[in-house]
Amino acid sequence: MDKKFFCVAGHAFAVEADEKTLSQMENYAPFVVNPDKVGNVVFSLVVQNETAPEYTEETRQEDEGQSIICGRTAEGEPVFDFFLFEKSTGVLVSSKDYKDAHLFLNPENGASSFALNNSLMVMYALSTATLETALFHAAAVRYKERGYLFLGKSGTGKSTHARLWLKYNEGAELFNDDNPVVRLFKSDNGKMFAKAYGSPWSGKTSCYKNVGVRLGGLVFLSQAPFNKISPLSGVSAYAALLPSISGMRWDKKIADGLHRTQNELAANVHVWHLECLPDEAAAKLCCKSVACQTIQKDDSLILAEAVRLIGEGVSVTFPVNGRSMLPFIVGGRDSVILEKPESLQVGDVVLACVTGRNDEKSYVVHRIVSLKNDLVTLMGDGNLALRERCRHSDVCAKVVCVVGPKGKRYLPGALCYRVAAKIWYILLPARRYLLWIYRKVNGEN
Amino acid sequence: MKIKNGFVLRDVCGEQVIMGEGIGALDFGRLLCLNETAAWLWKKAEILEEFTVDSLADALCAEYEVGMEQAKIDVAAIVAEWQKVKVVE
Repeated sequence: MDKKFFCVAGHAFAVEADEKTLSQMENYAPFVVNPDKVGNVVFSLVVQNETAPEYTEETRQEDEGQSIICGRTAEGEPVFDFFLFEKSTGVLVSSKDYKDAHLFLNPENGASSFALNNSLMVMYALSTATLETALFHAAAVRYKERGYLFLGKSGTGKSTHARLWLKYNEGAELFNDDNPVVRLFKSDNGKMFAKAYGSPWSGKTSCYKNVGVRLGGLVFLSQAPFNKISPLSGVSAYAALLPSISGMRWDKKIADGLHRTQNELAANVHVWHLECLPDEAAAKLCCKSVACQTIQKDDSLILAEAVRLIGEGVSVTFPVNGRSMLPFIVGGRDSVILEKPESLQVGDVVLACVTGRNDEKSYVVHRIVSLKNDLVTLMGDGNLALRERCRHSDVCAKVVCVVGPKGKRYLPGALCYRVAAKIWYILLPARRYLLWIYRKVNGEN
Repeated sequence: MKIKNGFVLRDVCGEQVIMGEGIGALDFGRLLCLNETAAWLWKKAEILEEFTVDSLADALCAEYEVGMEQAKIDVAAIVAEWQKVKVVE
């Protein structure tokens, strides 16, 4: 018996097996680490050629000639039996805390690498579920130093779409074709961000890259007779991720961990729904939409979504960015609540879509200084010496409330606006929009 | 009546959502968004384990200023929704 250590997405694990088995682990070669450099391992697996213990089946998952029977031993330890074309290739028995496991290979079946790969994926997913880590079922490309994952049911065309990126979006590179890993981190300023990693598990494609890249977006694919992309937020974003994250949700600890990760991803990472054809236009549309890196573009998308919600009678709350230097809204601390405007008055603070220089449309939160017929004049920041004009219909929302750090509320209308800085912009931080706490105005309390 | 095994209430981006996580609930295949009242009743039903429209309406009256008759109507409507999507039995 020999022992080797591997590190995938920063989580190390150990495999103990005979030399022949270890030598078959070619896809793990880029992930091998020196035992001296390994601190803690998330799990250890021992591979044996012995008869597996008896177990009782709990549930099974089937997919294209492969199936996994999940069960428990008499002692209550989790068991996973991996079937290929209706024959058991090996039985994985794990400790209840998913730290130690044994794989009992079926000597009559030559598919030992099938059993080993599946065992390691299962152990990896379960032992890291509580570590803000998720093993995804997705194709993953790197483009301009960001990772993008394409999710969807089997046969939707994840790999096909990834291939189209490589062909039509210059600089795009595949870093995993089946099971990339995503991890959450907290940056110095307290914001969450995610990274995507390659893994030794890449389906039918040999693409075993030991790379990590900042996650730029998660794209949920579905087939359609046209190409269309739309941003998803809140529960819809969460729902799009749900079927793509591996795990065993009937174990409460695993379910809790995965839910936390999934919830943070839905709130902090751009999630999209791409309805598409398997063509060049789809790859280009998707790339153009998801890979736009400028904050401004992110913000206008975020705001467009906010405006849509407000239009539906939803009251939207969102945090204000730190750079905005507001008279009474403190960036990074306060939030504003926006609602559909019923009537407008001079002195109201509104969110409006204005046309600036270069004919670029942008959103501002300004106070109305005059109203003449259909023409609304907004007062801009003194430094920028701006007074914007727009139509009544360009006013998307009214700030009904400012929420301070301890939930203390201020009414913008009640404040004297003859203060030095009358105006403020809401510079929405990218990705925060999914944190909006929105509730239906007409909903029950 | 009781909540079926494997169904849980979770906070998803600020919304209260029922999902199927346990064995037997894995094929539920959807997320059920609850409003505040429904979420409150769900949590009550979890505590009660065995519940009826009347017992939930009692609890609702004890917590909120609402008449018994109205409470029963509201609870019955919410419980009917739950029965329709089979998250209670």
